[in-house]
Parts: sequence; C-alpha cells; structure tokens
Amino acid sequence: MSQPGLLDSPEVSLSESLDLPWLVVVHNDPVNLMSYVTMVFRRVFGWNRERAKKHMMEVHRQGRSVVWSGGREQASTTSSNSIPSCSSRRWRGLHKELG
Amino acid sequence: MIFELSNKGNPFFSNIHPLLAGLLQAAAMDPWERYPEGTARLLPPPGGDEELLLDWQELVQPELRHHFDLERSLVAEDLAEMHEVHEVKQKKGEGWSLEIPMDHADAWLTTLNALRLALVEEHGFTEGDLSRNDAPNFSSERGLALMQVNFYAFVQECLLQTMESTEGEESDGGDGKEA
Repeated sequence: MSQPGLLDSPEVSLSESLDLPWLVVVHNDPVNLMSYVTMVFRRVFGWNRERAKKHMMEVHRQGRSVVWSGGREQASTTSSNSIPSCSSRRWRGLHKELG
Repeated sequence: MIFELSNKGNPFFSNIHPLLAGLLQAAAMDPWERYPEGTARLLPPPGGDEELLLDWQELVQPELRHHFDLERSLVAEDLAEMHEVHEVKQKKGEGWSLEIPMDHADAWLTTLNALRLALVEEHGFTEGDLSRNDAPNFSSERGLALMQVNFYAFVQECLLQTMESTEGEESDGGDGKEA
C-alpha cells in the first residue's frame, strides 16, 4: 500500500474541466404546428401543458427559446434522439449552442 | 371528409375523397427517395464542430433514419387497411375510410411532419405560401404539393386533438427538468 501524499501534477483533463454547459435552443419554424411543438415539449421534458405552451409561444413570438441546459452529450441526445417521433423526430431549428 | 372517433376510440376518417386518399397513400412512400433535396431538411448537420459532426454522421443520423423508417412502416400498415365504402343507400356516405390505432398516432405524426418538412423544402414554400387561404391549385405540381402540406397538417391536428383529449391531465402534475 502506498503512502498518502500530495500529487505534484494532478492529472486533470483540460477538456473536461472546461466542459461548459450547453443550451438546447429551439428556433421558430413556420412548418411545425404549434400544437405539435407543445406536445413535443411535454413528451421530451415532461413539462405540464402551461409550461410547454409558454415555451412554444416564446419560440413563436420571439423566434427562439432556450429549453434545456446541461452537458454536451445529454444536450445532443435531448435535441436529436429524444425528440419524439415527433420526431418527427428532429425538426429543423433545433440547434445546440454553446452557453 | 369526416373525422370522429371509432367505437374503439381510435381516430377515424371517413368519406375521404379519392384525391385525399391518394395523398394519404403517398405518406407510405420513402421521402428520401421521393424528395432527395427536401429530405436534407430532416436531418441537418449539427453545426460546424468536426467531432460532433462525425458522431452525428456515424451514430445519430443512421439511428434517426432507422427510426423514421420504422414509423413509416406502421403508417403503411394502417394505410393497407384503408378501404373504399359504397354505402350511399344507408346514408353513410361514400369514399375511403381510415382508422388509425391510437398506439400508431406517434408514428403518423412523425411521418406526416417529416413529409411536410421535406415538401416545403423541395418546393421552396414560404411562410406566406403556407398561410394563404385561397383555393388550392390542382393544375400544377406545386399547387398539389401545397395542398398536400396543408392536408397533412389537418390530419396532424386531428390526431393531436385526440391525443390531448385522451391523455387529459394525466401528465400535468410534473414540472420536468429545468430549462
């Protein structure tokens, strides 16, 4: 068993230490129905109807809405794989942006 | 065309005009073959990050494409059951009828939405085109495509309303993840 002590050069991955949160941003799109987008939000994020509708209207009126933030891999999953068949599964305008 | 719920509680379309029945049948076709340019809209690359792009091309895109195909196969299954009715004497009208099992509703939404996106991209429809209320122009391929986009939207709305009414407030308690 080795003796406890201090490391001179702790091994820290730079890329991991700088893993800034990613944002999933939904952009406005005239093709996807408002009711459909609301349903997708409810399915993917488990939001109640009011919250889903609030974000949908934000997309509609302001052009985009931040709907999720977190790690890069999960952001990627959220914005592609998790979009339900609605998926339609992945609709245009669903982009990942570095926060 | 009449939309109602069947005895089983499924979305049910009846008195479907042959032209609209043809548009519904078109939903079973592979959009990647039919709209090679339009389908570029369905799985756009996720920005310019090279690493992310490679992951996307190798892992995510094939999986999503496979998912699209699976959903479309369910739609094709239902369309194979679509039938023509001649019951004028019984005052039940005539035309085609289509019942969509509730557990196929997601597949229909996915498929119709993908087709609408592909059609809009393929024909370059603008927001103005999509919100026009004038009579559809059947004399051109573009006019028919616009009608197809709007008709699919109508079917989507019918399905969404049905899902909304059946799901009710079941999942309204949770607040989900924070944005």
